[in-house]
Amino acid sequence: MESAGKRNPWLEAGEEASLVRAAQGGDAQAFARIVRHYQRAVYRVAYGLTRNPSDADDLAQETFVRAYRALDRFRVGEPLYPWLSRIAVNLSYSLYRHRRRRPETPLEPLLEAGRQWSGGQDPSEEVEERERRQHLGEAFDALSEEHRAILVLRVVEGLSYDEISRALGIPAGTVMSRLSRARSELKTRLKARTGESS
Amino acid sequence: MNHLSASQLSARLDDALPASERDRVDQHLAGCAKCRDAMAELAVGDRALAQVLEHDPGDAYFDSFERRVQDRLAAGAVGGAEARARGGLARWFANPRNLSIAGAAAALVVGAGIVLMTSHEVEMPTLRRTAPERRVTADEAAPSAPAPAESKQAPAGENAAREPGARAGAPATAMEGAPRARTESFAEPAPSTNERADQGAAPGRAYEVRRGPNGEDVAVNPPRAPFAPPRSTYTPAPPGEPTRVGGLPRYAQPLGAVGPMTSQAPATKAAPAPQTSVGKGSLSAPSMPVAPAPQGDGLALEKSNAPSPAPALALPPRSGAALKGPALPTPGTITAPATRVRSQERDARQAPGAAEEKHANALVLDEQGTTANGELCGRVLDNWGRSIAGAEVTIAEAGITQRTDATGHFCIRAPAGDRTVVVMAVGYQEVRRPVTVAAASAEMAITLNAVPVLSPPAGGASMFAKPSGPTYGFVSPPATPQASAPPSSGMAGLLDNLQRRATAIETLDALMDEAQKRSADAARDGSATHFDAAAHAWERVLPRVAGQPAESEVRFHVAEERHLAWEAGPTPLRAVAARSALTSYIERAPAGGEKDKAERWLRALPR
Repeated sequence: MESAGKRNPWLEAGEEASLVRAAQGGDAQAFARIVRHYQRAVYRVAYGLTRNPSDADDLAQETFVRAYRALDRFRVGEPLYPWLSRIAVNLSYSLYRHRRRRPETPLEPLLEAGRQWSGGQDPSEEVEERERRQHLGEAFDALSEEHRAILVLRVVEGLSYDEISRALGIPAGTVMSRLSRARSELKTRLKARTGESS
Repeated sequence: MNHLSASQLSARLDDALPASERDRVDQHLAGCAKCRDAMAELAVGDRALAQVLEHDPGDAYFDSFERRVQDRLAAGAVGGAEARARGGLARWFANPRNLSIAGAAAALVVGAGIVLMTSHEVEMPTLRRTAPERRVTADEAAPSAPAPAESKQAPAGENAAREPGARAGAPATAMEGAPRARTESFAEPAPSTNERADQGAAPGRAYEVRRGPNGEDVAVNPPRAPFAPPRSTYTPAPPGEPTRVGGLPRYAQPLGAVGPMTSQAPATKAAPAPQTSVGKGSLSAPSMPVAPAPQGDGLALEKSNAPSPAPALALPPRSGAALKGPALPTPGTITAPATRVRSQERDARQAPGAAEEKHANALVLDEQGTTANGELCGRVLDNWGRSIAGAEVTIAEAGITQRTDATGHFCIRAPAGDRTVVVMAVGYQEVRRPVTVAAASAEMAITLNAVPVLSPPAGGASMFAKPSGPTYGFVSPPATPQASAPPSSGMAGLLDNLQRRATAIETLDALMDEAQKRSADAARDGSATHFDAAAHAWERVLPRVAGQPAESEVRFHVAEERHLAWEAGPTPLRAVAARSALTSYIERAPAGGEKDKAERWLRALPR
């Protein structure tokens, strides 16, 4: 299976390894390149995990900060991105655990709405679309953190099972079953919300 | 054979199965529609989720991202990395100062969001204009005839102000605003909807207006109670207008349609503009002079409003509408006063070219008071030589009217002698021409000029003039009584096309066709939005059949589509719309299966 963050092809393995080595040796420029290269991918994961732009911003930055500090423990030759994802996921776990639940901010729906109004769609479709997204988002929020994380890595980032297994620190077989359960669970919760029968 | 497990489907979707198992799974999928559907559903779910989970903060955000990470690293180094590592994000948020910063930032973004939305408000009318329902209605054609003075003024600006407001409300408060916006969108584009009937002359309610000859706003169809008496008194035509039309008693309206004898009469010159005001067509039908037509003014009046649609007939059967084919240059307006005549015309049109039928038609007319011993045949074309179907050809002196068939042909039997033939078609300027009707006249060709569009509307026939203002108060530019010029070339063809389309869409037949097509689409597609569209299309038919036997059926269609839309996508908005449509229907419906159905549907809606 192809490995890749969806729209952010990974650094070529050799280049990545040399960058990591340079960064480990204290080369700030090398680390800056790593940041530049993975910032969008890390932000995507962060947003998927937090569903909140300001939390995502914080989580994404903190991910790189942690990565920089832990760089010495990173084994050169391993793919970097799953490792970064793992940091982001673990950080989000601690964030959620600490805050118990994600606070509702009114910001996101506003931005969402602003974006959608610009679409030039049929208004009724917009309304429907917004409702659909809202239901789906809420159903997703209601999932366990493990299920959220695995869905983000697979569905948003398109990581392979192997990469997910690295990112989450779980066996590949578990990835398969957990993903399947996560999808089923999401479907069930969505249907419960929209009142559809299966 | 057992179906695939959820896990297998999920893994197959991700292409994560070992080769051997993948082959087995693929084999099963090839023969099992159920599992294919299940997998497709998974894929759809993934795509939808990806959309929800995606957020792009923009390039500017990422341009500064690296620097901010560096800042944070530096801050961490100074402040003690260990403490930071332990506290993490939670600590950051636990700090009141940071919280206040976050709050300020959030407020800033909210503000930006509001600005963003405010800026969108301005665009909304544009969006609406491009929306499918935003069609030119015939009401935009301002007949120059003086309009009833009792009409209320409906400032277009009110709508304009109201609408964006409703829309802005939607995003701001998702649950409250949205229904409002939706309700607006239900009510406004359709010139009628149930709401109009229900609310009657609700103060402040927007309805269509046009400009009278002096530039004043005049309601085309002031709201009235659903079954209010027809507007039977028309303002007399402007004095001095030549109106003598040799009165054939029974055909008052066709005669009226004949228009002035001299083509210079300003107000009536461009009469072909259809005037399809809500309720008017239907209402005016009964009020038409059926017995010996009033002379002079009465007729003049009919004339100036001439091609009033008065469609007013029982709905054609679903199949019937299909028969009529593409309604492009379809007759917009049916002027025959009697249902019988119209239905015959309809038949004749359905079998274009069937001369026998046409003659039969003429014969029927003869029975009603004309001795027809001559025949006039010809063809009606536009400036570009294309046939105009459904054009109304009238022998003025005899009051015999016939519509051209799909190829623009007509054959009228009429008393022999020197006559005047008057040809009218929606979207075209009326043509009058002296003819000699003989036992076997040569076929004549009559060319109609399209009503000019861009130039100041001539004679109030600017049916396609752009509505001024972004609202549904159809305000036509002031009519300037003057002879109209033929369309200039260049844009003319395009405009002509636009005219034809706009004209067609406004005819009852076309509206019916449209609604039926939309219904069929929705039934095929099964999506809530298609049902919405179908309901909307039926709502557009509604004003044309108000007060007619067909009204109930159309209302049923509206209610049915609204109900189906709700079933397909049960949103609070659709529930509201369905309730409104069902209630409107049930209030008027005759007892029967459909009414029972509607009552059942209504009960099924959430309270």
